[in-house]
Amino acid sequence: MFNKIKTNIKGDKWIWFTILILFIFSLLAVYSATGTLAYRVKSGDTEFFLAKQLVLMFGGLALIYGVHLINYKYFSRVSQILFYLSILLLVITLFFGTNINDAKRWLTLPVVNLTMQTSDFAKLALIMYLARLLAKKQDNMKNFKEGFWNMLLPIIVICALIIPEDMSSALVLFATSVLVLFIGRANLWYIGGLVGLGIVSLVVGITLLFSFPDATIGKYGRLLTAKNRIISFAPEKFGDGDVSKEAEPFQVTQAKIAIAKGGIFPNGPGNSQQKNFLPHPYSDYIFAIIIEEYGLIGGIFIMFLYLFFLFRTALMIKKTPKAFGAILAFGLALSLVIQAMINMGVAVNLLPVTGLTLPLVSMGGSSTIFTSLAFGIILSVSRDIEVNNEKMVELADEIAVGG
Amino acid sequence: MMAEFIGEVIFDMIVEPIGGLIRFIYLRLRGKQVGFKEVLISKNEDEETDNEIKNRVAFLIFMFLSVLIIMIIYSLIK
Repeated sequence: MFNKIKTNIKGDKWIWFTILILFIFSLLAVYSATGTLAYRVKSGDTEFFLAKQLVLMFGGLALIYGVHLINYKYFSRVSQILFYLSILLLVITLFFGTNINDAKRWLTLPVVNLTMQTSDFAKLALIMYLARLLAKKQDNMKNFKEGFWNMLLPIIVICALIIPEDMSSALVLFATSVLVLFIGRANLWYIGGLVGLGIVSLVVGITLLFSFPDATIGKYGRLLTAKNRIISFAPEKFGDGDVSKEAEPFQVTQAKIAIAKGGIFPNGPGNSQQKNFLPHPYSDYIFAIIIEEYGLIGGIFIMFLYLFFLFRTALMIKKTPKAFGAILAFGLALSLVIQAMINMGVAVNLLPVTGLTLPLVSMGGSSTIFTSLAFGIILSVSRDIEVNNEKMVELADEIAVGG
Repeated sequence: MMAEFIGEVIFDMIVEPIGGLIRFIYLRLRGKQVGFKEVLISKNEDEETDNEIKNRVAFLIFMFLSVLIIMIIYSLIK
């Protein structure tokens, strides 16, 4: 069976290698970072979260393997169903979602009693759906309605449904979608107008956020949390002298200490001390723990892995014969890499606090499942190119022999 | 414009997939050896990759790296 799997593994070997390295880092970092959590909720059974992560890792690898064997062209039709399903799930989450860490972003699946973050699902569905629309309208990209408006509407609907409970994810998804429109040959004037409109909306939104009293803002989702995060990120620009709001968030201070302790060279796995103080060291702030244990070298290596993955996907695009495969693969790769860069930016305090995880590395069931699905789809496009190339070589050989 | 969009949504979501399924059953009943997969992929919906897509991907990679370098320099100054 192992041999059968080995011979069936197709697609870019370097992308497979990157996935494996990220999973190994994930195992080491999660095992180390969940020590305190294990004492708090599992009576000191530190192996529990290691076993959970191992199951997730093998499950993720199986998912990537399974999905990469599917012809990527089927994802075009599947994307339609996923897109409408994601709208339904987001609406359900908005009204009946499970509240975890003061945010209603999760949906508890009945019977199995597992929680999933519906925005992860919607992100995957939206990018797949955009790739489908863009591929279908390649001949009509100059037309505003056909080549732009019809693609903008799904983006607006999904982002509007995510924004009340998860502002950062919605903004990142919006930005990623605009980049997908860009690579899908959308008219540059329209994209420029959209970016301008986005910037103006952001400025107006922030102005409104700071115009109303906290009591009013507090009534609408997580707007107050967003306002406080903006103030604590740049108190000199947005602060009004209220020390309780302007004080640096606890997790930011702890992350800075972790990075300072990390130094340039690795301290060794399991040697982090800040994992005992940082809230969620196994998910949102796992990059700070990686730097503390593996030094600046380890941090740069992780960053390099994501960039290398993006580079390999870009190389793949050069050989993709169909627009759908090209937009789908690069769009998904972009969304994963942008999420990774933002997670790292938050950990080193270059960006305000968000709830985004480090793809494939952070602990989290739904995050691992949907990230694995995305990697599987990218590798499916890559497999298609490889299989087509093999067929071309065989055909050329047959012609040469026949001739 | 909205009505057109809703029409398109209904067509994409209901008419096309169900139409495909009906077509598959019809062809099978007539003894044609078509696979469900063939019916699932609509014809002419995937255009050839234009060179412009490849150029835009290359440009995006360049911009991505530039932003990253600027952010690293900014963090060092900060």
